[in-house]
Amino acid sequence: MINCPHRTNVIYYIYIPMIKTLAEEVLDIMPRNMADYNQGHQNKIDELLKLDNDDITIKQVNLAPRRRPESE
Amino acid sequence: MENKDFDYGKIWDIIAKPEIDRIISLSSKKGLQVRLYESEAESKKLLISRYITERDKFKKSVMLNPKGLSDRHKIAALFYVAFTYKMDDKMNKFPFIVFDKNSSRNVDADTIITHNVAYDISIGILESFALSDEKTPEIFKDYVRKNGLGEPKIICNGKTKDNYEKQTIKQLIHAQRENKLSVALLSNIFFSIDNNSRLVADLSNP
Repeated sequence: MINCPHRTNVIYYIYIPMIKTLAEEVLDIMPRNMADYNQGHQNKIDELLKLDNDDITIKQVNLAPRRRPESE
Repeated sequence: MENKDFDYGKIWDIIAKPEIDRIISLSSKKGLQVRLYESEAESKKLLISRYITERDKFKKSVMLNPKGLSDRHKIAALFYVAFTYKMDDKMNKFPFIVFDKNSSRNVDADTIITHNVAYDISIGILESFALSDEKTPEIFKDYVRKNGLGEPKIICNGKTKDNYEKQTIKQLIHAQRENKLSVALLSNIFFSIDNNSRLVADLSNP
């Protein structure tokens, strides 16, 4: 209970909750923005690497040892 | 591309094992004793489990959808990384252990033989893909059947007589020592080897 507007009470009951709310809001926004940034960045890397671009799967491959010219 | 229900043990049986036997036989002719560090069954198990670990790690770090499939050059690169993985960094423990004529350990030879066999496995995977793919031009399939994937020509050789394969393997050993053996870069090397052979096949059949 605040009985009088003493400086300590003002800090404890008004300023600290205000700062806490502000800090929570900032922390809430930051990771979201970072995630968006990472997502965009990752899209570009995936596009560059083109990982999923083969015509056949390894299951369809007839495996054979390495071939070498007959002279070897 | 890969399939989760694919038996990766086949890569060991069909592609890796003949290369291992070949290098052991060639080395014994030169007076070197080469053997696998672990038993054959254990080495096979280790290779597959390392491949799966490296593959999942790679996909997780570069793909938005890590459940997606990767292409032949990435598979070849991942097998290279999996095979050359050091079981113990301090002990320099590679899959192979080599003794020279005096029965003393030759640590550099462990490294060179391991990387050579890893290269052979990767090239074997690429050739198998090329020969199994319906979209591969017949000219290139014939070329691969006769020659395997061709050697890119060396542009500036200086005084060394090393071919492309030897020089590349030396560079990859150096990259590994610096902890920079990258799957993405390796797959680019394998793409270039594949592409170079396709161009050579095209040029030799005008």
